[in-house]
Amino acid sequence: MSSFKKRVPSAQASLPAGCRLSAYNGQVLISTGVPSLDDILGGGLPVGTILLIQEDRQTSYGQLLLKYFLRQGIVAGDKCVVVSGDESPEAIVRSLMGIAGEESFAGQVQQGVDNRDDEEDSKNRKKKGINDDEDSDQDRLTIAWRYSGLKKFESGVEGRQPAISSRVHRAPVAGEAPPAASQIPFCEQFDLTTRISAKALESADTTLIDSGELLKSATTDNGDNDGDDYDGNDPKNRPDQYRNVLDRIRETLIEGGFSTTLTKDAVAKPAQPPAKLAERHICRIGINSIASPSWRSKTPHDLYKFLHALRGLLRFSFGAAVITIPAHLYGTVDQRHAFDGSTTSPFIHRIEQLCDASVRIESFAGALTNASSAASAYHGLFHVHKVPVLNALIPSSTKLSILLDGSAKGSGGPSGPGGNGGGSSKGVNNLGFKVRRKRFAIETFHLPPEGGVGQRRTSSEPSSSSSSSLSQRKSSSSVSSSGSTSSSKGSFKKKAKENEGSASGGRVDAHSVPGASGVARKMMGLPPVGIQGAVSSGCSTGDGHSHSHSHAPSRSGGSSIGGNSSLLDF
Amino acid sequence: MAPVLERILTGKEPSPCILVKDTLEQSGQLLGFELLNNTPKDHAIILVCAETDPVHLVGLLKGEYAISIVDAYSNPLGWTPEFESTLSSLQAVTKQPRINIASVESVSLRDVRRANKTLANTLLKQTSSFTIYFDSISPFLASSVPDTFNLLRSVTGFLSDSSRIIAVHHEDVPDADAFHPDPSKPYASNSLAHIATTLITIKSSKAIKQDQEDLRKGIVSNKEFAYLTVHGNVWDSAVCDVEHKRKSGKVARETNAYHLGSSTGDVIFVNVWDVVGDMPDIDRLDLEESQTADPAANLSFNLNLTQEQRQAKNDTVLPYLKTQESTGAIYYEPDAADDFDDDDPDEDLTI
Repeated sequence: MSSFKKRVPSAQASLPAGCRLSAYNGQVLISTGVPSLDDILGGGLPVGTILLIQEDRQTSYGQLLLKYFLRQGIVAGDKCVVVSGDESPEAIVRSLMGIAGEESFAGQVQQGVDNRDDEEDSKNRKKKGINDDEDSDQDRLTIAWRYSGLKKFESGVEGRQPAISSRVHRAPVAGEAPPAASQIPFCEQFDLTTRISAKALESADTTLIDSGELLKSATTDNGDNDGDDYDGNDPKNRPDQYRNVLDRIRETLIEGGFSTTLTKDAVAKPAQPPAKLAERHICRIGINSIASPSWRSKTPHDLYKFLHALRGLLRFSFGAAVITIPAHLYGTVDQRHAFDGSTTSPFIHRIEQLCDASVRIESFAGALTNASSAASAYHGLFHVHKVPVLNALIPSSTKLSILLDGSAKGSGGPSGPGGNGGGSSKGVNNLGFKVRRKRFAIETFHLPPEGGVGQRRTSSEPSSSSSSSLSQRKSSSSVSSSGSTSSSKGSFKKKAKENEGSASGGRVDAHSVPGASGVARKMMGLPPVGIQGAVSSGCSTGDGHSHSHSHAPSRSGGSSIGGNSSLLDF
Repeated sequence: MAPVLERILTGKEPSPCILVKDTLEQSGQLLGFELLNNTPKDHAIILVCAETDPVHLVGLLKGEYAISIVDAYSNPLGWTPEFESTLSSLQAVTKQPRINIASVESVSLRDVRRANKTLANTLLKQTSSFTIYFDSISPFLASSVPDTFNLLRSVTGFLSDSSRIIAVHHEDVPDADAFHPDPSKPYASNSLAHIATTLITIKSSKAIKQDQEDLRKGIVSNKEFAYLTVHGNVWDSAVCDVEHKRKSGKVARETNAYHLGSSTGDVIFVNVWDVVGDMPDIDRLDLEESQTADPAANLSFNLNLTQEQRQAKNDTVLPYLKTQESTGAIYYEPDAADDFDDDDPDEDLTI
């Protein structure tokens, strides 16, 4: 007698709304609202995990991702807990985006479902009338027509087409059961130009926690300290904002019955059966800008304890959290701002360890780029530091992710699973993101051919001003003796000078990409930073070393002055 | 298009919180005053003096404004109230009828929270738009970083449509956290830059000029008997790196420069080339040039097509065009001569 049971389809329907099972290891996943981010995580964010988003310096893409997460939760009927210190959680919820194809808050009606802005792009290209002699015409391959049936290289992940309107327009009539769990899409298509409709906002189950207000109410409970000699360094008096927020979150989880281990009544009520899985909802916790300067804590360990406790809470609950942190504010002492926005701050690393997944957004905002460079199509880079690995050794995204493509063979990178060293979570592909008018998408991008596609590498005339000739000329003018030894100092100096030669308005020069990382610089068609350093280190022959010394103190001596220029670069 | 800095100055580009970061090498005071002097006439001005004497500061203002002063300069550590400015003393000293000082408050830098409260009270009294000018935040930061941050944030909370905060910050002055560096504390400069909508970093034009010359020459000139070259404050010009966040969310990043007009003494914003001198040509990557130029442009033969030629090209019948229409299946119609032999022709091989 076989002990195998047939998998009945009905068994699979008993998932909470808006969830699905991972194809790789059967975990329950929820959508982050962005299909490409779901793909990176291996299908979705596993229930019970924390995703950490390290924000970019000048723009608010981190918050945008948070909003996607919350909005998806509202669509699925999940409980959304919004914690914020810098901005009022109210404001965040009100500014959530609407669904593509639905009537928005302002009453605009979207004509049809225009979810592919790429269509506009292709139309534009056609209009320009490409004078192309080659047969790589996108529309119709006349000579290589057999290739038109080939699957295109996937540089992006598209979301599902939303079911055409019938579901969302159906207003819940009194007495009518809410839409069945299976009808709610895993990841809805959203439209950034619209705002969440009033109806959706009302029906949304949200809990707003303003950490600043929590702090104020907590300190007034302890008595007003401001009157007399308030010593801010006294640990007893310092407020513990994280503790308060954690307590509120725990309350919310218990009240809503999301936790499987903690129940409302301390006295065990055995008669109460657990709710059916299909009727359960997920609790989505979104924390905006944790550890920003407005969060007060007694000791640095408060944040660690908070995250640890939160993870513990979530592991045994039907909940997940997305946290954004302004990582650019932290850094090591001698490196206030890493030039590429990354950080070697031990604080941030430790926080990353405490979370299950960690990504970093690095935007190109404000950096001058060539109009034709590959970087101009994207708004920034998207770094994946960690993907969720629950009860496994290899993250599921290694096998499943199209964007990360960890298992690609012959890709030129690590040679397959064996050479990957246990599945490097960074993946093989570089990722960039772009924010179209209506949606946020993460795509792969690769460096363009060195020197740009159309440029010739033959001449070295200054008028051609290609990046390759630039690097040629600079390296040729350096003196070989002092090349490598003082190049580090020289390159530091040159990094400091990156901004100085830049033009205002419209002109691009080699120095004018402050703070761009090595990868980003290549994408913009600029020589790597180190090469510029070759020039300054090319001092007069014998005294090369002493010359570079003469400048080093002025630049890098006190972290003050050295930090001066580096502070500019992100 | 005018440089971003000029647009911010004249108010064409709204910017609620302007932070001027300067160093010992080049002071940002001139720019700060210039920004202050460009406030619209209907604004009330609140001066928070931490580094300059209120009297001096008031004297530098051109134009009539309703001024409130928060004085953190005269008695910063709360030692003696003897030197605190009061309304009457200030009005006596300034002796200018057009200066209209509404109120003077003294604060101590020891307790930034109390200063915050005083400032909040002053701001509450404001009825119209105002511009608040911190001539230096560094003394506040030296007392307590999180409190100063909260001070600035609470001030931003008071900002109405065109009200502005202008603050000068000395980057190289250590703040309260600098003595016990703690990786778990955010940097003061970064935190301030985080909330500022415009970040202006001042650099010495002389230093840049020197660097550019070195770059052009390819060597760093060796001054005799000098092991350290410091370019002192250039009094009449400076280079500013401006990072401006527009309301739409876009960030504009430009390098502008300014110098004082010789005749008028006014600050003129110029292209950075003029101040620093001509940059080596390798730096001027023109945008148009680096765009993928038409590869057919510089050839000695003509690769372009005329209209007729293009027409003719499109009309050519390509060999496999017809098969595109069909599925590509091969239709085999056997000839009379074809033999339907189902046997395997290799059967009789005896290998």
